[in-house]
Amino acid sequence: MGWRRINRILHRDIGYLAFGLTVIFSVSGVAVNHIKDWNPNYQIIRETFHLPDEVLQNPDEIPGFLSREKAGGKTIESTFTPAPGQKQYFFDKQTFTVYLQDGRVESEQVRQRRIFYEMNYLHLNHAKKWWTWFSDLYAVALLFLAVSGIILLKGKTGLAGRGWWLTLIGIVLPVLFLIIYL
Amino acid sequence: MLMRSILLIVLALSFNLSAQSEFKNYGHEISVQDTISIQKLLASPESFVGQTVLVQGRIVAVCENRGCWMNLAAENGEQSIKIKVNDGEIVFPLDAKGKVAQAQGIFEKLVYSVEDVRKIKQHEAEEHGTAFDPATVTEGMTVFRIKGQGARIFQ
Repeated sequence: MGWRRINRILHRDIGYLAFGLTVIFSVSGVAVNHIKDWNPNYQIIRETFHLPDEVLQNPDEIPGFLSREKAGGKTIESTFTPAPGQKQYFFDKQTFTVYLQDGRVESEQVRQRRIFYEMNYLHLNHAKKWWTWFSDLYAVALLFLAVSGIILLKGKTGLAGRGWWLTLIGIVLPVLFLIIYL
Repeated sequence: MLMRSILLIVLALSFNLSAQSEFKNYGHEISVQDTISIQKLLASPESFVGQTVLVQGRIVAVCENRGCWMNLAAENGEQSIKIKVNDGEIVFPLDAKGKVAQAQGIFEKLVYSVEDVRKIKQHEAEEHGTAFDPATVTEGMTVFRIKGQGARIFQ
């Protein structure tokens, strides 16, 4: 069996193995690239409302009111006083900041973005431990796919012709960005 | 047949390894045995600067963008201390607010000039999407915080 045939078989099979992680890393890559514009891990739902006067007059009623009317009956987990005249009430994945002077309430509900959260968790290596080695292995596999890919074809469409120019463009483009931005 | 067997073994191992525990570890394993009260820490902060401490409290705030800090409330429910970690080293989950956590790290003192405080407030305002007028800051500040090494967040 010639080296070209071995290269093609390895490129094909490693390509199959790398498919899942490539999808994860590329989707997550776009998601975290735009972290200034959105939170790629969590959906934060904010709402402002006012407490009814009768609840505001009797602060002991506040947790019950918030649980009943705004937190779907969840039990309060804790409270905190971040500043004089303010009180925070913590429910599971939901926080209410109450301004005791005027009864204004800022509600913040946090939900994990399904799929994105998990993809980012892996892509940004929050798992650490064995995942670090596994993703290193994936990086080596990608390197192999890149090298085996450019020598896959012979002739005009291979490295001897069109392939050379396209590969060169792929190298020059990031260098160009470095020259402009670095 | 062989491929199916490999896939089944991998899946079985994954389920076996994903056993639930009462808390989740973040960063390095906690090595300090005894916790120190946050209230006590903040009552005489100068005497703890440079020491490795372990504190426990309710999480009352978490960095929204990168999970690179969290505030733990003191027992009196009025004071809190910031646990700051290097970006990406530990990521505190935003949905952990209200949960109990332990954090270990080096207690440190940071002295900020007026200009520094303006930059910090500006950054905080951007993070929260609120307006900020730099003219409202007229003096510097001293902040005590914990440079986090590891944490446990209880379920």
